[in-house]
Amino acid sequence: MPNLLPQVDTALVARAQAGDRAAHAELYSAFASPVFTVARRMLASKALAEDVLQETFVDVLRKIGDYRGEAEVGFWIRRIAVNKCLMHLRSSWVSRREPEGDERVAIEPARAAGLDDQVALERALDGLADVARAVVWLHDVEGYTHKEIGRLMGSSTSFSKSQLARAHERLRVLLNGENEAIGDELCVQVLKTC
Amino acid sequence: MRPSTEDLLSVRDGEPLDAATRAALDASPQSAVELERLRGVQRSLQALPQLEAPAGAWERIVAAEQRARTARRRAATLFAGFGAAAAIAMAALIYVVAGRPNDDAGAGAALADQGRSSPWLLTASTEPASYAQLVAESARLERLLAELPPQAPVVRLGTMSTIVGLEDRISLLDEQLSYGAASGLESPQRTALWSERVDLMSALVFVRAAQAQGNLFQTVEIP
Repeated sequence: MPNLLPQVDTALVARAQAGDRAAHAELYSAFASPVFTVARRMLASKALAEDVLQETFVDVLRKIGDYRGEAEVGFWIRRIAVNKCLMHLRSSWVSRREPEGDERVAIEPARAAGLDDQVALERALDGLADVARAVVWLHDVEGYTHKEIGRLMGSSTSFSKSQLARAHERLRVLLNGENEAIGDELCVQVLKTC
Repeated sequence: MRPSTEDLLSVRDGEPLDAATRAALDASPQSAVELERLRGVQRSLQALPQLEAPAGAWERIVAAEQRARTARRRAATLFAGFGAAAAIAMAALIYVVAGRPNDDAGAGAALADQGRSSPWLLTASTEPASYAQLVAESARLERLLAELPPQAPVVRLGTMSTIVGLEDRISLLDEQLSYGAASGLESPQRTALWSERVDLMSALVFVRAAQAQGNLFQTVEIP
């Protein structure tokens, strides 16, 4: 099941729209964690995720008056965050950026490193290419359709599908410590939770 | 033939399956195992814990929002002051470039030709652009914008408000496009939004390029 966003009542949104600072803080409390999580997972960088968190909520505070309730406020906020993430991914600065030693650790085969499944999965996710990681997170966790992802990325549905397939093939290699040359072999059991 | 990972993901996601792929899946026990593995990976991804936002982030957000609000207010005030002067200067510029209309009947056409030859004005064609063309053009303009020199700490206030306004409108359009993607926006409306985005991007590139050339009005340093 895709990640669920917290529900907030319409009265809180109305107060926020009226400029109530306490309501702004409540909105932040409700959605800071989901926004930070989606940014960290999509960008594989704590520093960039903090930037996105700040940019997203500065926009939320600026534009909450324009929010018309077409979607749940949580979806509206998440959409702003996802757009910010995609802007970061599109920027040449990110594409040139070197991995940060303290947070994008070199990917070691999970079994060899003796890490638990969750840490192994987080590392494998971080080890994906930027676009592949964004697609796998948006589709498999946030519940975006391939059509939506294709449009968000200015591309097609089939682009999203092929990126997802490649991402899963790469995840299999990273999680199982397979040699890519034998990547065609099926992995039978990677995670204990499978 | 064994189903591809893309086929297996389609099965996992409950998408319709053609008969040949279904038969291939049924005939391959390995594929069934791989399908279950893909389901497991998805469950594991969804089970990853939410991350806590860093301490002090809210205070930084409030401060950043306050700074942005102050800058917008200051720019709006200054822009109002510069507006009249800018309009006069622009009129004078057009007068000089195009000549006096009464003296030269071809001046308007000359100016229009000049516009068409500009790399920044992209909507001169009478043919409506397709969705794909608009998306490609928008991407080209993004690249052009990225290639422009970064804005210097010395900001020309006469154009700052314009830039902020254009960026705001582009950001709003991006949100509308995202909403559209989620709600299945009809193709003509989507094309219209992309067309508007290309127009705004053209204007933004034009203003930023002019700013980079240092030919716009008064310069004031922003503290």
